[in-house]
Amino acid sequence: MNLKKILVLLLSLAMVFSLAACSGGTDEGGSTDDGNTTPDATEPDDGGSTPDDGGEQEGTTGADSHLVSTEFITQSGANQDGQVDNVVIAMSSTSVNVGPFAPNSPGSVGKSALYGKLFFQPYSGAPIEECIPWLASGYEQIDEVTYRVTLYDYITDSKGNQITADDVIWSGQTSLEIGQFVDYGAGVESVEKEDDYTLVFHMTNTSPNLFASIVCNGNFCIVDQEWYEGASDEEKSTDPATTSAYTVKEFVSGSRAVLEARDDYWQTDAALNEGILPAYQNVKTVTYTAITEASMRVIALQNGEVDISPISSTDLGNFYDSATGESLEGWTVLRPAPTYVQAIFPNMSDQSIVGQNLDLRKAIFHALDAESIMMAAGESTATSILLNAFGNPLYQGYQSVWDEGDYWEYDPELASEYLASAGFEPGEVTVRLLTSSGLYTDSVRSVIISQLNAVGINVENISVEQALFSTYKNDKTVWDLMMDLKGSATGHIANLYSYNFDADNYAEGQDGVNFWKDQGVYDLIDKVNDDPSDANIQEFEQYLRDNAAIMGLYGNSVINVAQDGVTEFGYNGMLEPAACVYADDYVSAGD
Amino acid sequence: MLRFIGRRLLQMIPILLVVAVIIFTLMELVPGDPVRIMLGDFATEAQVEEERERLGLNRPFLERFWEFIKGAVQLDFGVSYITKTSVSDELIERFPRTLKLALLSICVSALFGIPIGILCAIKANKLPDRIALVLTLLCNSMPSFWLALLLVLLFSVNLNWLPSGGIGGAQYYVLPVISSSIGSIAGIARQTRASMLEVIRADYITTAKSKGLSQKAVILKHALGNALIPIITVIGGQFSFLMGGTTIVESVYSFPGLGLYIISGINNRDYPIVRGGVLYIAFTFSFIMLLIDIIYAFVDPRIRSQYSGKKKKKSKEAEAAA
Repeated sequence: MNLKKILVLLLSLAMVFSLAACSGGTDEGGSTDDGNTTPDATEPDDGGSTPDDGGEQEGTTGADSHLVSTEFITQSGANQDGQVDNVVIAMSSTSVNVGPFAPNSPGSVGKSALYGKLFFQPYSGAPIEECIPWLASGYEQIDEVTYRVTLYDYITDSKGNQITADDVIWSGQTSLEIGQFVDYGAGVESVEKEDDYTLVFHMTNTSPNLFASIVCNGNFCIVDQEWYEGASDEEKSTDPATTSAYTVKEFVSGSRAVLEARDDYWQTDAALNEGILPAYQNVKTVTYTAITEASMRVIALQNGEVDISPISSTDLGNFYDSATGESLEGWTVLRPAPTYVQAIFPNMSDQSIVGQNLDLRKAIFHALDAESIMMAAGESTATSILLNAFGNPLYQGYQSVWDEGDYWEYDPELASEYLASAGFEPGEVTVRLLTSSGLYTDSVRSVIISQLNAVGINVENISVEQALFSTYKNDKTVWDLMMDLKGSATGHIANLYSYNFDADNYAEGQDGVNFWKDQGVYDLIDKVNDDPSDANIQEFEQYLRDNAAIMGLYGNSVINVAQDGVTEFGYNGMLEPAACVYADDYVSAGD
Repeated sequence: MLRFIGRRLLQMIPILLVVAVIIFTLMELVPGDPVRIMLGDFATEAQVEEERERLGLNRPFLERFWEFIKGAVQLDFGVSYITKTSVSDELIERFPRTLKLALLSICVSALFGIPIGILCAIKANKLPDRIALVLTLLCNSMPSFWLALLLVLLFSVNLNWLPSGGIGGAQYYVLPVISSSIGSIAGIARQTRASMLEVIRADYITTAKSKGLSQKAVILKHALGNALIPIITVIGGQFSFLMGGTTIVESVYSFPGLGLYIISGINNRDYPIVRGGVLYIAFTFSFIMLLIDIIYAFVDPRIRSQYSGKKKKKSKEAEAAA
């Protein structure tokens, strides 16, 4: 046998091995490409918390419910009579953390199931009137910026400590000081204790939804001060004193955390628990297990190793038929209403050629096809929506009229005309495009670059990892165009405007997310915050359009998939396994 | 020998100090603000400044470096900016897992790699040698993430024999060990073959053969012993690499080892994790190299005699002086 024959034999063996490994995986196997363009987390950055009165309610967002696609879920879950022994949930980070002041990251698991908040937000961005008292028994608005909150006087944690107003004040302040709760610092002027079970919150401003966003916030985890200050680091991570319906049964650093339903949960009145999803106990133990690779999470689902897992939108085809709009047999898919806003920001400073030329910005926006960019990101109409403004329909204050008119229509000819009126010949101008390599795939960049090239705008691609991106995006000398995702901390669109364009939120001389130093926009921010009326909000959006200051592309969110025995998800903006509804004969992946 | 070990341990101090200076300085120069990453987009500049102050990032470079060195001496690398957990505790927690994975992988690699290398040397330029050469080339060229995925698809998805990831009992180590070992097996086999080929052409091997010793005795007793030094060097290098954490394998199998931890620290500009992790790797590498040197002495009488020879020479000089 000569060398060629040996080589042929070996290559054949390698191919057989590959085929053997891959067989059966073509229609079930996972993609290896994590093309998800959302932060890899199941938690919203406004940290909303839990329950609902049960029964899936599709397409309801309260004030603007008519605006949300009926295909997307904003809240669901129910209190089940029976209790499933165990469910296994995949998470995308190995930085497993069950502490009350852990960051809102994929590794911070079960924070709402472990630590109670004052109120529970039934869906992302719900106003305070719709929030359900949890550790608080109620509230009273004293004036525009002052609220009195009363606590139940029988709250005890899993170690028997009594929770009082002092603990609430300390918990908020500690979360702020530790760097996890910046909204608290920005939104709360002070908190006074009136007595052991009464507090008065003084807010810094009258922004809509501000109070709700603070008292329902996922980072406002309330724990007993005395216990926390006396506990060792190990105790905090393996056996914390919890104020919600679960406690930590097992903790393996970097790998998994097992939460167990408390038999001694302090709220025994079922009526007062109604609607608070994390306080439901449909599962005896919830195991969170770290699976970092998106493709491996798909495999774990298909292998029956996990019950529920977040997936990349590019993997959705394994579990969902977009043509029929149904989950494939064997699966239940949670497609939440998009919470994020993917947008193109032009650098509006005098350091950028784009910022100096309105027609150039218009040329750029008309040259870009948002749908193509969305598809390149692995998204589809099954997972995302195209935006018609800077904001998505989930936000309070979103205007339905925006969905009726044109929004930066893809029109290369018009783009070419604007380029000419901007004073540039095709190929004469070059813009620097800044993107995060962690958030967006090369396909997204390729589409943007090719579309701009098609109208004669050259692009210098600056694709950097997330840490560098977070620095570069604050440097006006680095980029002309930036693609980034944004959310609203309070769930109100006024807040989205404020955080992105209010100079007070940025370093001196920077003036907003895209360095837009403009008195007109500052005045409009104040106007919208003082009176978030439809007219004022529409005026603000129109001002953005007139100045071509931003281009909303698409909205998306994190998709979760469960074994089909999970008949309904517990969801209010984040997944709540304890409020999911399970089939009577459900056998967990962990069993 | 003890003096040698002591001297080598002392030599590790300046090495670790230099590594500490380099990593501390580099992290200062690398762009990317950990506070911005930590606080997110919604943080105002005032909040960012406040947090920088709280973390001590506004203090002078030398002051912070001194704090770091003082902490490192006590094995205290500080608290992670992001997870707020002790870096030392996390390193200690993850170290046994990585050690177990590395030890298993290197044992598997040596168990397969050395015999394959010997076989290739004995059958040099014959069919088994050529097959093994192509196989080792294939194994060396195979990306570990690709192999890892194929193994998962075969053993977890199709055959359902083994879990696809995580940690737990022995079954959780099988696929990560195979994925980590394949490349090492190839490297060790190729090195063993080269070393053995050099040795078996030596005169003393011909002499041993002419004395009528069996091939087994000639190869295992006379040839392998003399060929071991470069093989041990390769094994030591591979082991050091594995102890630093095989990030890709850890990532695919969601194996919570040190590699993933350090990479997450780098991505988040979490300085305490990166500094602690790099110092750990430097120490581990130095320590393994010391172990390798000690093993040399046990394997090779010539090296052993150098140490004892020096000792004898010194004692003779002392006697003469007396």
